[in-house]
Amino acid sequence: MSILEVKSVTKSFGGLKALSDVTFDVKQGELLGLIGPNGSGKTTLFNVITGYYRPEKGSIWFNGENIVGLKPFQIAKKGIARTFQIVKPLSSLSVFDNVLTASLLRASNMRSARERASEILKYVGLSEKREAKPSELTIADRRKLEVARALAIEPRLLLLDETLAGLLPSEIDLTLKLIKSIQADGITIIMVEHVMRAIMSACERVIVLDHGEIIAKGSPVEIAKDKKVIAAYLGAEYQLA
Amino acid sequence: MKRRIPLAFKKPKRLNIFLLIAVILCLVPELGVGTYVLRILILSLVFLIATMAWCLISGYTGQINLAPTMFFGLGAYSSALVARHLGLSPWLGLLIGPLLASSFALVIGFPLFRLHGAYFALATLAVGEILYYVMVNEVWFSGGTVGLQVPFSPKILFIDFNNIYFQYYFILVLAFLSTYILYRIAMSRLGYYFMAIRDDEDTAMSMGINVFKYKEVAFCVSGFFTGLAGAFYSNFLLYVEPSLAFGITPALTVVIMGILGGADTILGAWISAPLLTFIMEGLRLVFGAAGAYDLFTLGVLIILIILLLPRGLIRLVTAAKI
Repeated sequence: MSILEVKSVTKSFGGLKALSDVTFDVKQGELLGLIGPNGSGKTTLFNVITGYYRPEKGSIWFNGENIVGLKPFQIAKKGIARTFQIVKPLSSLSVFDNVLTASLLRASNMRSARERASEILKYVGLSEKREAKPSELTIADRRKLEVARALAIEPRLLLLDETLAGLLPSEIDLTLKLIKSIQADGITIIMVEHVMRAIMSACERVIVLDHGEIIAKGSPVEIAKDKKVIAAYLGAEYQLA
Repeated sequence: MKRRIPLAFKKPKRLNIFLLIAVILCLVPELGVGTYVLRILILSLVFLIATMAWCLISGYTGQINLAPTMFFGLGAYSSALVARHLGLSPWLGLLIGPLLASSFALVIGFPLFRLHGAYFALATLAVGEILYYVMVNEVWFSGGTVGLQVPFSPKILFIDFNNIYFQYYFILVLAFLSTYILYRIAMSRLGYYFMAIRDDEDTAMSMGINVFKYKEVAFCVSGFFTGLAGAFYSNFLLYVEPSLAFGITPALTVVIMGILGGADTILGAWISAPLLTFIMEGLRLVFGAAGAYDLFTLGVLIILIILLLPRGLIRLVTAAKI
């Protein structure tokens, strides 16, 4: 069963087609990889799904409901959470208060929001830094805070935008473990990633975007062999060699 | 369970500082300070309420309102007009002033909150200026630059509003009530939404926060209390004119008091509002108003404090967000 269906979505900025006729679906409970060279439209796609951009054409169905035209906060309430590629914490609030503010969406009172925020910080491994300011965190911890904040709105679908970028190999393994355990808890995930090792090991299915179009879909192994994908990343002449 | 209780209320010592200020303020009239000092204290409490209300929209929610006088002036004029035409001064005016200011906030928020950052701030300044010139030019109801006299109110329910001791205690109670309500709002779910909007609107939206709606809420609450301060002001002075109510000087006084005390706090104004009022009044007393030495010194003070204590005087007492 599909939790999300993206149908013929087109989004342009002036003359530039950032997304053209993008169609795919995400199955309930899966961890879908979304890859593509820089500027291929991955983050734009996230912004369109979460309502930050409105597409010119196409529809996006979440749990059987067309969510095109809804505002970002309404889409968040429906159950789609996201992280930002360039982390966007609430910079004057502590780590705990960041997560607490997000927890308020589903909590009936402050006390239950506090409890929920504590649980989530423990889950992502930030309990010890709860009183720290986001600017005092390492890059890996800032990414974890993004994930914690997204989890706090109790999403059914989680969009992770380059959560692993810039991390050390040991940090990548830890964060990947976290992502897989989120999936195991029943949350469907789409992850945009450049770290191919992570995509290969974590995702059952991968979608490749290039110049705003989907050029390949399939298992990681199929994708790695796909001629169009290799051309997009390395240039067409590379295949001849 | 560790909670976000501000340090000032966790540590008895710091709570005592605020209790001490409150007790001193309650006892001031008993100390035989004379009506001149009482009048200045009353003025500083009026500005205190307006400043706390400003901090809610500008310090907490991050929407810099450069003309809090739009609410202050509406409160002042509407209560003066009510007193002139309906004769129920000042009680009805003290109710209508804040409600009108708050409704105005709701309506003007629709166009204003389409703007962000510096553009929003400039637009608030423009709204303040428009209201100022409306009052200057629409002489038939505002009295123009000559202003409006507020009729001397009769005793109602055995209370003589023109008794300065009554006025002092009345504004003191209003100040305590406003502080309590604004403080509770700032510490509640709403306070977190406001701070989220201030820090990052995209992130706030991703948390399911309706950014426009909660900006409006903050603006309306801010308008209500600023309007209350204005309504009291004209009934206290028994007079109102455009530059007192809508002028740039009262507008910037509120903004500067807010920044000076600590814009992202509610209680900071308790330090900055009395301090600035007394400093400016003292300078006028010594040098006279003509040379504008008070405004000059104000400028120098602002530069010093922004350089030395950019997050406000309240940080001398506590590091917490209060």
